[in-house]
Amino acid sequence: MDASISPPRGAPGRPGRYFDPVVLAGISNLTLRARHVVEGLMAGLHRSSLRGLSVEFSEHRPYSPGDELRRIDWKLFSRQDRYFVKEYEAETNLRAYLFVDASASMGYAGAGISKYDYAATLAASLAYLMLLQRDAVGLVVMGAGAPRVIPARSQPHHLHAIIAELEAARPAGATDVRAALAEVAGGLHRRGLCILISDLLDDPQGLEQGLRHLHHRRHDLMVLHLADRDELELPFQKLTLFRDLEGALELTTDPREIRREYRAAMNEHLATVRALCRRSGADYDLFVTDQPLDRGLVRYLARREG
Amino acid sequence: MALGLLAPLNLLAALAVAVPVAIHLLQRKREATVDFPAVRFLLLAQRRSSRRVRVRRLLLLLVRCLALLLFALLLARPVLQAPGAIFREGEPGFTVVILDTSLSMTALAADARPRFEGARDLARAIASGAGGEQRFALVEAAPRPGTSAATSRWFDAAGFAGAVAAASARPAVVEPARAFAEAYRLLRDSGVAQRRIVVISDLARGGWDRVSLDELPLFDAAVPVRVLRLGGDGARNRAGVVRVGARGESRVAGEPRVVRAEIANNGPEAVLPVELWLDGKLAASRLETVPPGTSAAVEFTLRPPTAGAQLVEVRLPADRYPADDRRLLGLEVAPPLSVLAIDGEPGASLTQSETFFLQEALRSERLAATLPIRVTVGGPEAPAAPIADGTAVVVLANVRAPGEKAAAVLTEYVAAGGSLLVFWGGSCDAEAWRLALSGLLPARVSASETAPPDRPWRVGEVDYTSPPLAIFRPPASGTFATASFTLRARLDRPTPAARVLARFEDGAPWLIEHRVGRGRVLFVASTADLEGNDLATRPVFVPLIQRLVLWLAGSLEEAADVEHIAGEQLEFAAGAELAGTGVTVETPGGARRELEFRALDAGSLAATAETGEIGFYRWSHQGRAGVAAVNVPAAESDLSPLGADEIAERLRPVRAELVEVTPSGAASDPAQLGVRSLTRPLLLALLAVLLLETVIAGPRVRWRELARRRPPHPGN
Repeated sequence: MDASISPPRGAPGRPGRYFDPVVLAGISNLTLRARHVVEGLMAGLHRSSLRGLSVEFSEHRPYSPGDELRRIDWKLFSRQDRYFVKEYEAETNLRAYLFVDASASMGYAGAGISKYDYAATLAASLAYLMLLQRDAVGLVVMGAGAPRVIPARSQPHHLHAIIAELEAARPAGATDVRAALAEVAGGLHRRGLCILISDLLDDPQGLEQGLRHLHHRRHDLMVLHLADRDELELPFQKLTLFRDLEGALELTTDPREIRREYRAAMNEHLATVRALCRRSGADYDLFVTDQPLDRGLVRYLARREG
Repeated sequence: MALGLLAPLNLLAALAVAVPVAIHLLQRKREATVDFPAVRFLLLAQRRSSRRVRVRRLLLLLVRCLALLLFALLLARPVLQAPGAIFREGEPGFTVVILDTSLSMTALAADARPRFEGARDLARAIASGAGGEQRFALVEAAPRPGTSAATSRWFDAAGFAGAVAAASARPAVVEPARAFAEAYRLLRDSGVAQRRIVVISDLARGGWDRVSLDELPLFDAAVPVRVLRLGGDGARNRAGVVRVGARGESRVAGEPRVVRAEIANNGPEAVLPVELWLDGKLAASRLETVPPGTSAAVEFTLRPPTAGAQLVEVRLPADRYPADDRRLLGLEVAPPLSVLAIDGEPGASLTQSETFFLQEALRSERLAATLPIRVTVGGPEAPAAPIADGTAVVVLANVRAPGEKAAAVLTEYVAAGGSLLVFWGGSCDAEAWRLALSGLLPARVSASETAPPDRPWRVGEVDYTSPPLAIFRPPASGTFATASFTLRARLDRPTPAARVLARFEDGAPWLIEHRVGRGRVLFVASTADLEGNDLATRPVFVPLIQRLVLWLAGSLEEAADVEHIAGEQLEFAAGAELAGTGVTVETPGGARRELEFRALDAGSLAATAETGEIGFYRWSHQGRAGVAAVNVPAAESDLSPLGADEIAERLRPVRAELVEVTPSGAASDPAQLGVRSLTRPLLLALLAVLLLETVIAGPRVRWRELARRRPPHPGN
């Protein structure tokens, strides 16, 4: 691990909030497992970062005097009895933008942590992983009012700015994802990877428009859809007054009586979101907040490989 | 088929149907509040499910109400009755129910309920659900003691249910002839075409085996008769005490008395523990071998410690027919009988004594009766001092004449309940007797007379109905005709209350008696020794003297060690002089009754007490007291059922249709009985409704979904 990058720290009084040891352990394991996949494209999560290089093997060429001896391919020499030097191409640095939904609905917490806490943890972990690989990472927090944007940078200390912004944000208000994406997309001049972390309870059509806008600007898209277990299964057992977190809707109903229809409606919504993501060229994945975070990182690494 | 209810008041439980309605309404007020992000999906779900939810809620409410209604209906014990099995519906019909109220109906069925309870349920079931045009009458096959035959009347269904509820099994034997006669009388007066008789009974052999309906008044062959036999419940009388009595050489306290009990063993065990209880305390017990299916006599020897009435009880282990597991006996224990004999002409030797033959006749070892007699001899004058207490009989043998003082003593003695036995003799002065005791003797003595030696008087007419002479009734051994009489007292006309027990051939009284006050005077118009007759040398002399003395002492009658059967009457006899007095009887239940003597015929009174209870009846009268044990009729101890052929034979000319009924009162063949309990189908329906409620109210289980959930993984 690069000594120059320290693990992200939480706000005063909440050290390491977004780097739960269990989660980090899971990420580390996934890193080791993913190393073989990314080894051909990047120097590797550990070796390259330790040597301060971000290069990728290109071809062999005959040794010529003046070349560094450490660049000689000794294995090839043992087979052909001739000196060849490895030629490397500098790796193309990734620019990634993390779009984190901070609307009021993200504040819902069922039996575990809230969706926003889960989203912030996931975003911080991804940012950390990206910075480890010298990728530039930026952050867009979409809450009440205008989106707060932290430009993409690859300096290790940039992580602190990202984490500070995540911790400063509080779930509130309603989010217009389409407007937020459109607004931010105008300022993204270089193409990169846009990762949207949201519960996607917004209007699907607006979401699709926003994603298409980014896709039109040749950004790669990933959608990490967060949901609480309660939202998926509606486990409540008695007559309940439900109040909407983002609006004035209220409904008194017996969840047992409408559970079947609710689940069907929710599944329809998930299918709709999944379909629109596919149409918009976005990778889609659903995360339930009672599940480990590592799956999101694996998903990113898989995307990074592609 | 019409629906009837055995316990209609239990339908009030249906009010509980308000409970689910209240729950349904109150539940809406108990709601939680949740801030939820996906309310719009909830709205969508509710829109989609609103119709289904409404239907489900309504269905749930209906199912819950239905469950409670079914439960209430179950409590009301519904039955389906098919009067059409005999009656055409909508037309008047008259049903007489002959309910067996005999003792065997108290046998316990397998559910520990008396058979009679099942019979009562069955009777109720017959009437329940009947239309208003139907009438019912209840005839108890074992009537209450003292009730007349024509006591039944017609009821509607509700009144009939009340009459059935008031009926009970009692210690009595069935009287089918009486019951059927009553039933036909009732039906004759009904005047409608639809009539029937229903008999509800166990048809136990013990009671029904000895009935006969040879001649039934008002018998109508057109009336269908159904016999519902309660059986198959395994109620079996394992063993019972069917008879108990006592015998002994003496009835005196401390002397041995043998209590004999007859045990009928209908159970499988051959060895039975038998206990004897005396005055509420266990006196003896033993294991007695009585082979199954047989009877055996068991004897216990008792030595009653004190005089008076002793309460004896023979007990067996309890079985399903507890009525005959104990049997009672009232044991009378008496003090020795005391006799004062006045010898009016003591002889020089013992054999010449006037009372020699009397003493010999009354010696206890020769006494045929069980009571010892202590004879005290005095004389030759009649006693002038008061007679000692406890003296049962005073004998005056050939006493010349009682003095004035002695006459007063004797008169007072007799008036107080003592008895006087007077033997005439050659020393007697007729004039003096007339003057001294004219009011005490049953006839005035006019003179002594003698017969020529070749033409002695002989005994002619004898009143064998009199208690002391009853045993001499021909052809029993012993006759007075061989005795010769040469000396006798000539009597004037007897007093109106006097009774001549025996006469000479010429019609002159030999034995004559009457009651004076509470006592009795017997005048023997000849001597007690050989002076005036040779009776003392005849075989009849000893039993005659013994029986005369015992009769006068009031000890000739059988004592209370004879058991009585419930339903019989206890009879108390008395002389005419006791008119206006009465007997006090205390029943086993503690009720006291005053019974007044009623005139039966000239010179005799009687009082009777009904015996409807099992136990000891204590009586007292004029200073005397006793106890009478009343037991169950032994005939009811045999619970084995009669066969169909035997029933047909017993009930002829009635042609009855036999229907077997289970102990709980439900018919084994509902079509024949015409009454069907709805308990089982309603119970099944209730279970089905509860299951339906569980399915509707419970979560919907989707097995495929459950299978997909493991391991939990949200799809993408």
